[in-house]
Amino acid sequence: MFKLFGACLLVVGGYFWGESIALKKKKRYQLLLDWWQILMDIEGEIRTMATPLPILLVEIGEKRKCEIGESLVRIGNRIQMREQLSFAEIWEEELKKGNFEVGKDELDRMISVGKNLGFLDKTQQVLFLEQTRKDLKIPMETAFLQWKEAKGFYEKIGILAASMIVVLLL
Amino acid sequence: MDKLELLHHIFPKNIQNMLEKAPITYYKLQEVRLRVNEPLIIIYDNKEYLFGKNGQMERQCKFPYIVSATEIKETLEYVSSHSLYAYEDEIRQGFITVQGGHRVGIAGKVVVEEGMIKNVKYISFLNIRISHQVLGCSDGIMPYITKRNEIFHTLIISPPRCGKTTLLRDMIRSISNGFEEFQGATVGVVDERSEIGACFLGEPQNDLGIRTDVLDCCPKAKGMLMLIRSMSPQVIAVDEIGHREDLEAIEYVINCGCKLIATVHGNSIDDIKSKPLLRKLVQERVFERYIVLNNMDHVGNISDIFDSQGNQLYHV
Repeated sequence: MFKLFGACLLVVGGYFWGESIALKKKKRYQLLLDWWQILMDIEGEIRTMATPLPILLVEIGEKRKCEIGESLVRIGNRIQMREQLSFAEIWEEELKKGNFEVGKDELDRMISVGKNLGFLDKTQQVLFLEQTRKDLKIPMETAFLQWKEAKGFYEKIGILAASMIVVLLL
Repeated sequence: MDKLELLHHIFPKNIQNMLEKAPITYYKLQEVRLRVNEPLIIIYDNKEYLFGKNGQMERQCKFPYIVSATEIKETLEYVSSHSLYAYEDEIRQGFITVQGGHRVGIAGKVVVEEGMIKNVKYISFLNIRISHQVLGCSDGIMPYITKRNEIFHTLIISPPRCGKTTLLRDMIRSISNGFEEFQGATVGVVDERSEIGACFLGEPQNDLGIRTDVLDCCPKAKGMLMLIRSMSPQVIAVDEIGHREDLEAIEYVINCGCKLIATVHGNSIDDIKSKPLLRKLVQERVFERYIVLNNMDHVGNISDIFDSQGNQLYHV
């Protein structure tokens, strides 16, 4: 009975070990999903309310309690402090500080959004944000598949490794 | 942050430093003018001053500080909180109102599409007009526009820069709060250019009294109708009437039993009569009081008050 319990514990442990390995992939997918939703929020606020960026970023950041949201709150607050820096500079600084679980290319793409926010008219802003969200769709779907694949793979590896240990121990 | 400090923050570092060091008292500062590749000029205590390269403020200056295109661009970024799209409609009208109620006039290349102003690009000229609330400046005229707890339909006639908005603002405050002979009334303000209330995030920065409701950034004609339907005001106040649709809305306001206080650009009642759209209002004796302003002795000087029949009730 004791041996059976120990064996079960090992297999379950192996499963969770596998899942923890896949966590990195999940984080990346979650981050891209948050980013996608934030872009949608920004687009909506600009389209319907024409809210200025500092207020809009703080509101959205506080609503979406996530890593990028925290950066947005900091950006919004810094603009309201009227530091003598351009919006793009503040945006870049804060996103780099975020240490997000994304590749360099993805981070660069996020930073480039800051260079296009603020100075165009409402229609152009909305079109730009729509396009950015469209461009994000494929990386997001890929990240989702990678996470699911990694989850299944590592879980199986974990269970298999645990099972082997059980067999060896028995 | 005091009012002057708040104002300094809409300028780039160099200009900010010069304004900080200059011997400027906030209530005497009237305008700051930025023109690309031209000297930085301020209107202070009704006089024009230039800034030297070393930041000194002088009436005449041989080597003035020259404003660069980058500084204009930066100022515009700060003025619009890095969000020009949020001020599209204001830019089309040629100005942006900033925190504190200051009006930033803009000029540059106007983009026209199908006869309508679509946008302004290459913005190279900025005029920051400082808003000053003068509490109590309407005290002297209140007895002329009220009678036994009733307000008269009143039109303030004034050339630009003579303080008509300042007077209107204080009249709103007095009517709203009430005074000795008047117990106070609900006032609805249609603040198309955010100059009367100077609302920032919906909160009036100027004191408009305890019974005042403000429709901020709303077209006058539409706003007057909205207020009547939604806020049941006893008095409606609007700044700078003159369009055909304004006059139609005024008719509606008056027929609803609301009292109206409005301002208009002009020098005299005759001047108003010469404008085809406004002539009708004078001829039909819609307004019961006309207050004429000039800036002879000081800004906001009241030169005459007339009744609806043109009888002079007050003259300096």
